[in-house]
Order: sequence, then structure tokens, then C-alpha cells
Amino acid sequence: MRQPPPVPHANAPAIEVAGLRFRYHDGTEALKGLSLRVEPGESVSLAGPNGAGKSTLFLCLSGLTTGDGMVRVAGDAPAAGADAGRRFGLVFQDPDDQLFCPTVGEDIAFGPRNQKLREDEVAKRVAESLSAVGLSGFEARSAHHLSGGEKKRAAIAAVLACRPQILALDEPWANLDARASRAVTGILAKFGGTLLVASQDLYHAGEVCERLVILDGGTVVADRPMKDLLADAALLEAHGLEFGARCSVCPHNKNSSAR
Amino acid sequence: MEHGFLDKYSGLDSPVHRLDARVKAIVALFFILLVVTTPPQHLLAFVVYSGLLVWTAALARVPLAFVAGRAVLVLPFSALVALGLPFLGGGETVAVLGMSLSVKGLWVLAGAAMKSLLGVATLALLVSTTPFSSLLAGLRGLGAPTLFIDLLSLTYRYLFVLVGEAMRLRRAAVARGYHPKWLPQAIIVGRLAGNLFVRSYERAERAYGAMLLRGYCGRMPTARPLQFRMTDAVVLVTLLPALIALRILVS
Amino acid sequence: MHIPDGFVSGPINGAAAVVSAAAVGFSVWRVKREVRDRKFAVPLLATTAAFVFAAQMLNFPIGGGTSGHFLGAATAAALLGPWSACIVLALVLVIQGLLFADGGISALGSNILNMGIIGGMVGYLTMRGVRALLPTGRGGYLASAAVASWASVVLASSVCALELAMSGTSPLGIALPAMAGTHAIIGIGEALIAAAVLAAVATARPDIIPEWANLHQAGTQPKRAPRSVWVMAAAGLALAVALAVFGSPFASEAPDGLEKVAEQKGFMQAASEDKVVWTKALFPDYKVTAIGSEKVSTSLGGVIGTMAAFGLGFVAIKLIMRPPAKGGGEKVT
Repeated sequence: MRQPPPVPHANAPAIEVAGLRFRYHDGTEALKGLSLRVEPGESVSLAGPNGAGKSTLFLCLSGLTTGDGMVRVAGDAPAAGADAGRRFGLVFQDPDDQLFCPTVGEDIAFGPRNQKLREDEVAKRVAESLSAVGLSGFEARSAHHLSGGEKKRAAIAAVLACRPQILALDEPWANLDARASRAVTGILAKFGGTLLVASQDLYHAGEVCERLVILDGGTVVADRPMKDLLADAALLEAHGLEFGARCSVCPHNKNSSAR
Repeated sequence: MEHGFLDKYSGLDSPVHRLDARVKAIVALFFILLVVTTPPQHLLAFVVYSGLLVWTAALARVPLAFVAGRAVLVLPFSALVALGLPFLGGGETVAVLGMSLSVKGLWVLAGAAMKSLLGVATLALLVSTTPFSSLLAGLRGLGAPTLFIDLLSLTYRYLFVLVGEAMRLRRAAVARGYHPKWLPQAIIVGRLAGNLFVRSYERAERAYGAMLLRGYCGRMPTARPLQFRMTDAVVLVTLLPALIALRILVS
Repeated sequence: MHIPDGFVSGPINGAAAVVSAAAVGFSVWRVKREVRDRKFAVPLLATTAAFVFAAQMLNFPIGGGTSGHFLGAATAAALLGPWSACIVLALVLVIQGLLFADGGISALGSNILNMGIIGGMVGYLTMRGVRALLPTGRGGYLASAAVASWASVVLASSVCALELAMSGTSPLGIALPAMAGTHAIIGIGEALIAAAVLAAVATARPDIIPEWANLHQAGTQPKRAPRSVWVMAAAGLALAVALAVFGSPFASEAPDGLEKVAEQKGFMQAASEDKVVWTKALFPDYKVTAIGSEKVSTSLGGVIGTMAAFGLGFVAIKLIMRPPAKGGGEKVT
């Protein structure tokens, strides 16, 4: 008997995490009491050095793993089930993990079909999602024939097709060239729901997100509007981040005439 | 990995492409069974079979060179297994270029070569006129177990990913001086393969997570079932008996 | 070892297709029933099939400028169990046949039988058998995997040679030494690769092979009885089959003790045709009459007889030894 979709709690925050702890099988503590609150409609960037716990946090929010502590997504505990995609959409770092059907069209239709939509509604969603990421007409293409940027956009389309209230992306600009990065930024800017972006690329994150949360060592170390934090170079550097145009050409090359 | 060749022509449009995948699968299998059950001595039959394939390729706008190129790939195995037969077959012999070759052996070699070539050419045509996901949907429609079809679909998708990773691992090893010359160095292949398996396992874990997050509950969702059209029915009903009649005629 | 179209006769391909279909169907049923996380099995079996496909593309030299390649059936059985391995190999062979001209579609049944069923199952059984004979611990585990891999490749190629011979494509006297001989060498590569793969996997992700963790305590001896029965059965069967395949063609045609005496004493004629109750023997004189070659048909008769005897014995013992109440017995995975 199929459960009805979860009714969003009217005034609930989109994300509410309190004291989240998570330890991997081999003993490493990835999250050490993390607390975070995100209101519906916000666009938040999560930044931090490698190993800070960004990906782990996303896994806990998605319901794929469970830690100790309070986690609420759109007012309910996370659950990865048939209607999971409607609450929380997660775009992984590697698009090959999310494109597992022989054609792009089938990948995008996967979510809507699992939501038991009628075929004509599914076709509409597929067309809309492809259009939203600029890949109209790609239904019959195979994932292995796509470029890196196209694959990333197809993966985003596949998640968007589930119409998630909250969209989380793990390093969306990794391995993309400038053109593809711009395309992704454009897609994220148009997203209407709550946006969570885990990225070390503050340049691109800064174009999309209004709030920056810095994670380090499994906890939140700073949480302020993006503009404020980007100006604090010392804080950024202390946590393995960098922002700002350094217009020096080959500063370490002793032969460079540009010095 | 050179995977372009698999799908190269499946997106074209032709009367053959427009046929239902189930019809094409049935006809292809039927044809192959016909070919393998024909004794090699009926050379005329094999000429006719080849002609049929050439005609189908033309109708499907698939270049013959492509089909022939795929077919030729199978010859090395034939050579390995059956090449020695004309020399060892025994029985009646015939003089060819100064060598005394066994007639029985020659027939076996010829039969095996012709049948394997035709078999591969038929499949090349089938795959070139039917996108793989349609072919799988067709097989599912013909009664193949859903789980097995789902597995084939996923395997096909990840084939390219894993072969790519395998080639990268191998290149990395070669770049570090891996030029194997003797058998015990197979251990290095083992380490590469072990690495590759862990990657494939972790890929499965991540893909599984992605599937769950988009609502996966054990079966891959299917599209609208295939529609059988008049053309498809006509083709099936005329082609199969025609092939049988052909087989009887040329025997 | 992938047989193309036209090399193996129709009846053999047909019979093999039926057996393979049944075996793969059974494997699917077993996997659905027993695998803990059945939903995860779907992507896992698929990526493992993709892995086997990719691993088969990695060549290794076997001397004389030629190279061999990995089969992976026994390794897959060690990693995922024999039923999953059967499905994985079947997937690989279907894709190879359909898309890569590697193995004919009409011979798919034979190829799955040789590489998936015989390769996987023999690999699995041999590994369990050899493990019980070796000291427990990681070395024993890897050594048993190596031996099992070698045996699986040699046996799979031998059965392939048998099929070719029975179809009249290649005389057994040539096919068998050629196939078994080359694969005895390729099998060494397979053995080394299998051991290296398992060691690498166990180091990087010990949770994938649950028994690996238990092997660390070399001192813990599990209950001997159930395993040794299984071991002896497997070893005995393997020996019997080997004798049947390789020994029976050379069995003496000379009359055995009873026949000799009957001839001498002249009461041979008393056992005349019209007195025999059961005239329609399935395999008269231990020969499979459909097959031309005398030696091969005797071999095959021997194998079928051995398997039938084993099968009957197995069923009989299972019935006799049925536990009195539910909830007992060793799980065979």
C-alpha cells in the first residue's frame, strides 16, 4: 500500500540539524556535533577543506546514512523511499553514479516513473527538466556519449525531474570547464526551492548563494552572509579556503619576465 | 574505449529501423538458427543467406563495410579451432596447391567459418537497427525475465565506465614500467583487477544510493509497452514461413 | 573459450541452452531469496558483470609471444557466491555475444554452461574443498582460491573441447590436449590473478568478503563435521568425474570376471535376448549411441553415469539425514 507523500509542515525549516555525530566503520569521526538551520527558499553554500564532513552531512540529510542527533528535512526525519526525491534531491559529485539507464531520457524519467506518474506526465517532466538544463532533445542519447559538462547537467535534470523542495549538490563545479560551469551556475540560479551547495569553489558559489557556512573538523565554524565571509581572507585561509583575484602571473617562476 | 561503433547506426531511419524490436529479435534469432542448421555442403543456401543480409543492410542504410568488418572479427577463432582439420581430417583427400587436404575437414572448416560469419553479421545488423534499450524492451516483451533485463541494462551502462577505468589503470601501470614478459607478472594484472573490483563495488554502492533517492524500490520502471503495428505483424507472418521455404528450396 | 556459431552441433547447443536457462533461472531465484539486501544486489551484480567484462580485457603473457586473459568465474564465486557468479557470467556472455561478436548466439547455452555454470560452480566447490584441507588463515584462503581458479579454467575448457569433439568439429584427440593444455597454462595466470584480486579487495574493503575478517583468528576452528562431509563429497565427485572423462575411454574391452567365466562355462547363451526384462537400456554398454566417436561416447557415458549415481546418492542421504525439526543444517551459499 503506497504511503501518501509527506505533507510539508507549514512553518518548518527546510533543514534542521542539531548535534549530529557520525562515525565511519573504520572509526573516523566525520561529524562531531554539527548544528545547522536553513529556512525554505534560502541558498546556502557549505564550504570547507577536504574531510570537513560536507558529503557526510548530505548523506545524513538524504537518509542514505543515519548519524546520532536530530536531523529534520522539511519537518520530517529523512527517509530514502519512493517519495524521497520530492523532499530532498541530491546531486552527487560524479554524474556517472546518477546516470544508470541506457538513455538520458530514461534516467530523467526514472524518478517520475517511480512516483507513479502517468506516462504523458512523465514525458512532460522529462522535456521540462531537459529544457531547464539546456539539453533539450537529448532523450535518446546515451550517457557514455556525453561530455563531462553534459553529463553533469543530465544528472541535475534527473534529480530536478523529481521536483525536489530542497536541492543539494556536492561539488557541482568540479571537473567542469568554464563554459560548463557557467551553464551549471545558470541552472542553480533559476532553481526556486531551497538550495544547498557543498563546494570549495567560492567563486562560483558566491554567484549563487547568499549565505556561507564554513565546516571544518566535523562542525560549523562560521555561518554568515556570503558577502561578509568572502571579505575575511584570514578566516578562509585558516579553513583551507581561498577567494579573491590574485592577479600575479607566474609569481614563483624565476625566469618569468612578468614579475 | 571505442564504443561509438556499437550505437553508430541505431539512430537512423529506415523501414528496418521502424520495425518493432520484438519482430527484429525473433527474425534474427530464427535466421541464425536456420543458418546453423544448414549443412555446409549446401553452398547455394549460404550464398542466398549472404544475399539476404546484404539486401537487409541496404534497406536499413547500414554500410555493408561496417557489417562485414564486424563479421570478420570472428575468423581468428575459426582459424584456431578448425584450420588444422583439412590436414588431419582423414578420409578422402583432394589436392590443393600441392597439398593433400581432407575433404571432410575442408567441409567442417567451411561450414564453421560461414556460419560464424553469418551469425555475427546478423547480430551486427540487429544491433545497428535497434537502439539497445529498445532491444532490451523487446526481449522483455517477448518474455525474458524482468530482473535479467534490468541487470543487462545496468551492465550495459556501466560497461563503458569500467572499461574506461580499466584502461586508465593499465596505462598508469605501463607508465610506471609495466611491460609484462612472463607469466608470474600476471599478479600485477591481479592487483589492477582487484583495484578495479573495489571501484566497481563502490560504484554500485553510490549508484544504489542514487537509485534509492529517486525512488527505486527493486525494479527498474518501464515505459509504455511496445505497440505492435500492422507492418510488424505482416513482416513476421510473411518472413518466417518464407525463410523456411527458402531453406527447403536450397537444400 | 567463447564458441562461435556453427562449431557445436544443434542438439548439443540446444541441450546446453536448456540446462543454462534452468541454471540461470535457478540462480536468479536463489539470489532473490537469500541475498540480504536484495535491492542492492541489482546494481552490484551489474557492476560486477561490467567488472568481469573489463577485467577480461586485461591480457597477460603466457610465453611464446601469446597472451591469455582472465575468466573470472571462480573469483566472482569467491566474492559473491556461486549463484550470483552464474548470473554475472551469464550477463557478460550475453553482452559479449550480442554486441561484441564474442561467442555465437546459437552457442550461448554452451558458453554459459562452460564458463558460467561449470566455471563458477566448479570454482566454488573446489575452493571450499581445498580450504578444508589447508590450515585456516589468509594464506589458506588465497591458496584455495588460486587452485579453484586454475581448476575452473581447465575444466571449462575441457568441456568446451568435449562439445567440439561431440559435434565432429575437432577430434577429441586434438581438441582436448589443445584446450586443456593451453588452459592449464592460462589457468596459472587465472590463479595468480584470483589470489591477487581477493587479497587486494580484502585489504581495501574487508567488509566485502565477510569471511575474510574471521580468517584473521587462525586459532578458531569451526565445527569440522559439516564441512568435511561437503569436502569429501566434492573431492570424491571431482575424482570420479575426472576418472570418467579421462579414464573410461581406456577401460578394458576385455570381458570382466563374470563374463569370462560365463563364456568358459558355456552358459552365456542362457542370458538370451528374450529373457531380458529391460531391453531398452538408455546407455547400452556405457555408450551414448548418438555420438560417433567411441572414446568420447564412453567418456560421456561415464560422466552421466557418475553424475546420476552421485545425484541419487545425494538425494538418498539428504532424505535419510533430514533433521528432525526445522531450523538446522548448514546454509549452502
